Amino acid sequence: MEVLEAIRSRRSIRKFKPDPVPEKLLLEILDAGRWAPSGGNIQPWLFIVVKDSKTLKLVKMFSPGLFGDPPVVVAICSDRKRAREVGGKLAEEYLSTVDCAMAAQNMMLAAHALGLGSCIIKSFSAQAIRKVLKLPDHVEPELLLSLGYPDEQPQPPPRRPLEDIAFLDQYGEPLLKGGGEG
Amino acid sequence: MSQVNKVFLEFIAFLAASARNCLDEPPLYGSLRLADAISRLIKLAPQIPGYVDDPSLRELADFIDKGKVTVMKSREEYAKFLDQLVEKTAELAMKSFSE
Repeated sequence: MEVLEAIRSRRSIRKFKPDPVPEKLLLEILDAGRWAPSGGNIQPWLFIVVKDSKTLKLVKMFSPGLFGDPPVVVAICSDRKRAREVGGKLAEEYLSTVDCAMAAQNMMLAAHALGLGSCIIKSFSAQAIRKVLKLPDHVEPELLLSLGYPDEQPQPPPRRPLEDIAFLDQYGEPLLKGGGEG
Repeated sequence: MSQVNKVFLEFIAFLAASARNCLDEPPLYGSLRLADAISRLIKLAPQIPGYVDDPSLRELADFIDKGKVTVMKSREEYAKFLDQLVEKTAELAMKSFSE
């Protein structure tokens, strides 16, 4: 699948088939996350793959934004200690979150290219997830990524038109002359 | 722990996490969590001994699961979904309580 096609056709999947995710595909997805850019190449991310049914249930119980019953959830965490030691305050407090988001996008596109569905989730109880996954204090749960074979084909949600968000040289100066794509 | 207690705890966990998260999330998500709670409750109910299966409630849960994502499209569309949810629930209630 071409990158641009993957970007435009990926959807957030909230209904999954119960089929397990093959180990080979899971490793490819994690590897795609590993290849994301990061500030100062700190690579603060840690991926905790949750497949055990009891742990999955606990994660879901404390994640109001996790819809459906995905066979796999990846907790994308940041190692704040590593970020601080290598990149200082900026990396610890800001870049580590941004870096994890970039890894998440890589993983979602990889999953889509491999025929899997995914959804990124921030609506979870960080305190509870920290306990359930036994995270040490310096590891912050940033995002949850649900993974599985999709059992729905959502319509693309509306997108803000390019002329509302892209400018030329200065804020407010139209990039697209005479309209553009709507 | 009994099965009923586990079911209650599962629902309580969802409510507790939602209560905390709603402090920081978009205001509309409070409403979303309440609507989603109905769907979750309906799906948990069959695990409670003595519960009688009710296809109309299962349909209501499906309706919620399909409609709740409109919260990410537009407030108007989401409000329309909630209006329909209340109407459907009222119809079920009237039918049940007139039996």
